[in-house]
Amino acid sequence: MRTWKYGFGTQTSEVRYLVLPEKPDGAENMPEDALTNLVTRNSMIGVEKASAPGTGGAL
Amino acid sequence: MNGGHDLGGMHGLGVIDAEPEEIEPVFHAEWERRMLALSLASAAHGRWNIDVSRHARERQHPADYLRNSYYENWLVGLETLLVESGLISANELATGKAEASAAPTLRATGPADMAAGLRKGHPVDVPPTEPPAFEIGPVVQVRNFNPTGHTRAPRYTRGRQGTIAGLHGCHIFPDTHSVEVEEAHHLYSVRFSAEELWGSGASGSAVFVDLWEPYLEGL
Repeated sequence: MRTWKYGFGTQTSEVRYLVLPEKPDGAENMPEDALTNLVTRNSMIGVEKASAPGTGGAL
Repeated sequence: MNGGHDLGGMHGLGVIDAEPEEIEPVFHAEWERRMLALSLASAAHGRWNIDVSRHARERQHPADYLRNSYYENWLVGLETLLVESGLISANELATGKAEASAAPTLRATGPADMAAGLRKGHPVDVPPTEPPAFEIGPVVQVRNFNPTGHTRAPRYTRGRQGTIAGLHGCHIFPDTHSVEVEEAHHLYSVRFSAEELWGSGASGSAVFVDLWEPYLEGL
């Protein structure tokens, strides 16, 4: 079982942070434009995972 | 200042009921679109900076700040800035009627100016004149201070100890910038354990807060 260390980041300064979502299983050979559809706003702020392939994902 | 905007650690506000991402509109009403445009066009006159405008919003009564929607707080802040900068009078704000013609030096800002200005941005990082007081690793403590002006040190971090987790270089210091004094200080990412901030019942996570050097003291 994987263990995770996690932290919460605030944006008290003008420095902005984005989370790089983990590539979901089954996305290994997907082209860039298909991967783009799996990335959501919420996955880039770290409150959910990127969508799994075949589940619709972002608009 | 310890205003209604500094919510960290406050209870009773309920769950965050976020709109689903795929249906969330940029603006929820036409007046919000106008509010954004008014703010940008007014700021283009250069009578205030971003920290002055943040402080103008935060100076409201906390009950008003919390009751207002996001763009309602922008409106209150803009009204304060327009009157305090002398661009309009309090009476003009109350009546909605101009009492005199605008100063001949004032130039109206249009959509083309906006696009260029937004593309240019407003960088806040400044070449350092002195080396940082802290490197990555040491334990620091946030000063216990309660300024009546603008600050970016959240109340829940003051008096607490954390470790320097990152250096961002020198950035304009919002506390003095909000009263039109431009100073730059080193900015750090400071890691606080959840236990340090919230007590022994907190989980094993951590909170990373960006804090300027004047907020911090070494131990």
